[in-house]
Amino acid sequence: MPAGDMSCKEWVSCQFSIITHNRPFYLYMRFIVRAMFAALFLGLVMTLRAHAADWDITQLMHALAQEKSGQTTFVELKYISFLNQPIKSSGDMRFVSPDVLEMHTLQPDDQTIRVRGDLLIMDHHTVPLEDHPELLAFIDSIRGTLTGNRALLERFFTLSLKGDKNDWSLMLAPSKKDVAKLIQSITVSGSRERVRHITIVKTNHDRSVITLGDTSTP
Amino acid sequence: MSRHRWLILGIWLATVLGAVGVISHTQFLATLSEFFPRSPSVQQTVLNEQLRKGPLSRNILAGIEGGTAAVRTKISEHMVQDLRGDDHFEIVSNGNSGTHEKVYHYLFTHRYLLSPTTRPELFTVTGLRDAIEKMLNVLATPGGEAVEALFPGDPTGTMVYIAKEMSGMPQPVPHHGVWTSPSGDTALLLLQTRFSGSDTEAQQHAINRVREAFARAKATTGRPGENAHLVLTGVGVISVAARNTIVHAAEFMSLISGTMIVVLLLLVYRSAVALLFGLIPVISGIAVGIAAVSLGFGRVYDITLGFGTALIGEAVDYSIYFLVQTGQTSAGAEQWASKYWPTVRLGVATSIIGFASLLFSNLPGLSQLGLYAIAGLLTASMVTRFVLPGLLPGNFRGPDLNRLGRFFLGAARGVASARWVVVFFVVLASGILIMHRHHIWNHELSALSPVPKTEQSLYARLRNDMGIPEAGYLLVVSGSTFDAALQAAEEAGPLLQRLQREGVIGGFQSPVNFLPSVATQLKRKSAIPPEDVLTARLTEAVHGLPVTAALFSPFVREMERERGLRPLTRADLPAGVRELVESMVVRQGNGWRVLLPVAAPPSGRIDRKTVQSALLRHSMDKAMFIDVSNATNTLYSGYMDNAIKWSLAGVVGIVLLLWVVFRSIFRVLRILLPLIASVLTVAAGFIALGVELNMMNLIGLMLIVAVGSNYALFFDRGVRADEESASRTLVSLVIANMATVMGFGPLAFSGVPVLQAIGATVAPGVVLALWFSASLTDREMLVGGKTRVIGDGSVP
Repeated sequence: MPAGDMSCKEWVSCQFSIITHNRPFYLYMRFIVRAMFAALFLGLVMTLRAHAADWDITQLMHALAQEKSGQTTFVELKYISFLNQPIKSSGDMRFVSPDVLEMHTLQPDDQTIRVRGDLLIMDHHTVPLEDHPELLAFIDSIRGTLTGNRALLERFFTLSLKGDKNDWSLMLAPSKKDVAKLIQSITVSGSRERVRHITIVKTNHDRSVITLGDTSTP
Repeated sequence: MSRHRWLILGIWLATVLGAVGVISHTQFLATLSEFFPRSPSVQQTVLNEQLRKGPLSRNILAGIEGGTAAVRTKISEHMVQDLRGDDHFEIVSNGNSGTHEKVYHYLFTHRYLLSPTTRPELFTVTGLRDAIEKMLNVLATPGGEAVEALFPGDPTGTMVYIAKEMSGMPQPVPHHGVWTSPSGDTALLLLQTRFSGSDTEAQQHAINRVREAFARAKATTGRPGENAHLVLTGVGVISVAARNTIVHAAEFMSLISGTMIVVLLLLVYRSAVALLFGLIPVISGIAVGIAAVSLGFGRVYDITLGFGTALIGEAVDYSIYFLVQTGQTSAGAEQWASKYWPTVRLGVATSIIGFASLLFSNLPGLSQLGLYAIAGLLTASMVTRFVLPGLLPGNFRGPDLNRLGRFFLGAARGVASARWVVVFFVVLASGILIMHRHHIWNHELSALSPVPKTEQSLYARLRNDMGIPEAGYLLVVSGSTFDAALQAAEEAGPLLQRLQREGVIGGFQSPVNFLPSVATQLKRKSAIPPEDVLTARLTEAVHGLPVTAALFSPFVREMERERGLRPLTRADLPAGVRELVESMVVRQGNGWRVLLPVAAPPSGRIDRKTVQSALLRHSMDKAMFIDVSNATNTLYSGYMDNAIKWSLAGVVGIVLLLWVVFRSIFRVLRILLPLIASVLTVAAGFIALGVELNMMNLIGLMLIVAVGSNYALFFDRGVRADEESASRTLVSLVIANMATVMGFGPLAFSGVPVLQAIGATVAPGVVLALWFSASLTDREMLVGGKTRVIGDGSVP
């Protein structure tokens, strides 16, 4: 069956390719990714970088420009409008310079999410960030933060710093439509060099408060 | 003679007219299917059925190349929009399609009928509570926002379950929003036509539509899109290309061969009348040959007609022998009948034995060629012997070929005195063959494919780009009705799931994910409690959880709605889902088969035995597990064995015939020696050029023996005769040989691998056969001048 040599295999392959139409779960991924990484990546970066003595944004950025890796614990409380009480999760976060971020949730379910370069991996799903321009904007802005590139950060957010050295908060207000559609604001707060909380407020008024533990540098 | 003359002419005319009548009612086909096996196993039947009519045959893979990534993305999106409305296509997708949403919507609005989690236990107070708690945990976990919107309508996580069930199969990865090759150079589209791939006319139309859509899309991109171009592949596309190649080959090769042979004959005969008489047997042979195929097979493949060119070259030999050997005397015809006919007759017989071995090939295309050749050669020789003498006008004179004859006689003497050349060739060829003895045969079936190499590699490349794995596996179950087949698939589900958990398989796809059997749907419906019962249980279940039962009113409404649905049938499936299901559930004879694609685990291979023993343990002995690539390999060795068997049988048949006629091992050996030498030399020639021999080359080698034996026979039958008839015989052999080369030679350039291999083997082979026969002939016959000459065909 000369023609069939390839075609037999193809028949099966064709089935596979049709199956690729069914990725409903994947449709939801966009949202997760947007909401989460805007908050977590920034928050972690802040945690690991916040050493400056004087709290103006320029100095903060300057401090952030020094590359480091580290890990910490987190507790996240989600306030969802249809729930009577907030729901809680906790686990470890890890950042490896220059571009790996890992979030290992231990409670209530064991789950690992990992960003490496331009790929996000969750539950064996790989999401190329380039397919999500708004997400890429986030990540790139965070990479901007990592390298102390304030200009890049300000392409996506309007930054404002409040409070004093012992009780400060940096608010990021989305300046791009894609992001602003979902997120109202992200607030990173802390005292001195420590980041304590990251609060994400969504446009539907649901919010998520992440509290970070002490940072250890491996 | 004259008494029978009118009778014979009448029979001939009636036969030819009858043949023409049959041909006028014949169905001519140009498909790939002539190369599908005729007597395959059940498994092969399944595969072939799919190849010809299955959804695969309807797929067109399109690649957009050149230009920038942005241009390709734009063209891809434009083409999808354009072609979506085209009724040639069932599916048009570039990975960024609304098809996903349609499928999702269907799954979502029937989630309780479709999910295996719909069981009475789930809707008890405890069941509901556990399920809701689980979903709350998912919500709490980072990324849980994904299910937030689903939660009020689906607190039991049914949709998440369905989605997870469908992962585990390979998928292409979208980049820049559309399917793109891993290299990033090609934007990819998948189209499925409404017509099967074997409907080449419809496929051609669909292909034209895609090309037009591309041209329109490209026009919108302006300058940046100038370099963009489209590549298309798929079974349908390849069928169309192969058909065009075959039709091209059939038409143009016949034309080229025919023209060359006519010019040759005109040069030799220098008479239009002689040419006309020379062609009568050939044309009769072709007509009867086609009619015989039509009667024997019910249809005629275009490739058979393509092979007709070779037949012209072979069948014209008989009239050449007749017209050249008859000479210029009026009594020539009578003389020829007694002097030369027995040799020609024996030659016809050896050729027919050779072609008969094609007749038993398990490729219908090749059997047709065999039948065509046998009927054609028989007719041509009979017409030459019995009709031509009666048709010749009394004053007809054969061509004056004395000078040519003397030249060839001289050449033959020269060749005969240089036997060492033959010995040299045989030694050299044997050396080459022994040196390369491990690399003589090509074991790739694709070498025989009528599909051009470039098309094959394009197909492989785009398929690879789509992330579609090369080898595949299928689990096939069957049932007497559509629904029974679905039930069989449902039974296979738990087993496959277990194999997936054990890591034996990587995943599988089943139509019951989209359309469960009626019985299963009814069972699931009956598991759903009535609205009031469900509300009461929910209220009890959410005690102590951070939710109120009122939140789940969308869930209660949906349950009530699905409880009231009548069972889904094929007709309810939306476009996109229907094709998916129909691609897996196919009609087979009176029943239905479900073909479940099974993916390999990360190791890349599935242990067939493990799967088969698991099937046996679950008393699913009727289910078939097909390793597609392996099935193909088995298929090939089947063909190769078959080809070797019948080719050997052909040679043995020829040897036996010669032995029966001559009753002398020595003479049989002397006739076969030059033929064996030619076969060895041609085979070694291929190897030396780096071409491994395939099945068709093997058949070609056998045909060298079948056709070449004609020359060897003439040289063998040396008896006393005058120099004139010796030179005439030589001239006729050389011209016949040239005609054969002109018949087979062009096949080598036909672009159809099967014909190419035969042409490239037979054409040089017969030249060598003539040369070696002349060289190894009894030297006295040629050198002895007037006393002994070749070619008198008295019965031994």
